[in-house]
Amino acid sequence: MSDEIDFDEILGKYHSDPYEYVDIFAEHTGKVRFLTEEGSTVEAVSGEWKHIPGTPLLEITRERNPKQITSPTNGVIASVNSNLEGSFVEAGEKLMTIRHPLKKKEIIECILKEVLYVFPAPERAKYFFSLDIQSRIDKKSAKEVSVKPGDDIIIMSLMKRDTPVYYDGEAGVIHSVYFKPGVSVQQGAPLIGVCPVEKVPLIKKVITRVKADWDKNEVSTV
Amino acid sequence: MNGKFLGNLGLSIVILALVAFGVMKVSASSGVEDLLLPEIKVSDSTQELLHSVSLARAAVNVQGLDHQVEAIFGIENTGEHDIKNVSILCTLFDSKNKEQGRDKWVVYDTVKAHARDFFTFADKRFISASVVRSDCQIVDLEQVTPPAITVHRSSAAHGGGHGHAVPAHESGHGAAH
Repeated sequence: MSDEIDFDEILGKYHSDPYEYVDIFAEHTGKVRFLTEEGSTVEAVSGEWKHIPGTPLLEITRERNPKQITSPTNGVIASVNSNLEGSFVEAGEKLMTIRHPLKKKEIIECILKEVLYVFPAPERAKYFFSLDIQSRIDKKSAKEVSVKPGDDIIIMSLMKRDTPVYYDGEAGVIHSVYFKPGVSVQQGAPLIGVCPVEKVPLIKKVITRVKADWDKNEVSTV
Repeated sequence: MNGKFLGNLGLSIVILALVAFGVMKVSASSGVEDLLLPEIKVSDSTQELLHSVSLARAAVNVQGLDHQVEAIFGIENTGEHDIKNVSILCTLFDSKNKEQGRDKWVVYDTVKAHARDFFTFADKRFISASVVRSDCQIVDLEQVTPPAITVHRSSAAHGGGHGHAVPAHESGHGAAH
């Protein structure tokens, strides 16, 4: 992580394109039938218990078993691979892209992921902090807990087997925690964001700057 | 000749055929172990992947009477794709080189392409304490498939971009973004 962060460049990038693009791929083979079209607005799963499914995007039928795929996020359908309508596709075929407008909080998270050392999940599994780290987090806060390479900071729970996960990134404090204990995390998704102690003020500056700049920009556009 | 007679005749033929098959099997086998431990079969798809995946190390250690078994496996993946859910079947032998049964371990972790990883298992299994040697082989494995949904920043980017994967959402499951 460099000491010099070009705020203007980072913010300009997010101002010019404040979206995240979510690609939807066929998760298995089957005949595809699209249920939305380009430009339609889609909603994510909602409800107190996440019991209201998102907007239906497409239906994929394999062995006469239709499976409806719903939107994982809210936004607008940016593109649909409509030439695949009614045809048989292989697993992994790109079907459509959703353009998700980023909120201020999400933009800060995206920027932090660029400037922090992000420790990814090695497997699709459930994760917990190790007892030592958890007790230190309970006593203080995550932002005051320092980690160094070789520390067993996280326990990975995969198929009833608990395996310690050793940290192999930069030494620093845990600035952001991206997982909830006991909730399944996808392989490669970030688990924690670590920041070297001396760079914590710089990160705070980034957050303050983004908040101020974003609000200012929103006011000026209104 | 009525229907009952024909039914009995048919049943007798089936029973005789089964008995003959059983006798043939028993006479062809060299012992009880041969009958109880059939030949290990590996599926064609696994056989194909096994050209690039090998068991670099395998050791099974049975610790005394408490049935605690420690197994260490080293898996080398020289292929282009990540693999997971590797099933390893070990045939166990005693000091007289006599088969003492088989046991299976499954490595659910991902072994990255062009990587070698070691996995240790320590659990309770009912394996004879007389086991001193094991002969292990990979019998099943899966290629890691890319996630069904990927997130990226640039509109021009493709699925394998720098974004992170979010869970696939079938009807009624998953969380809000």
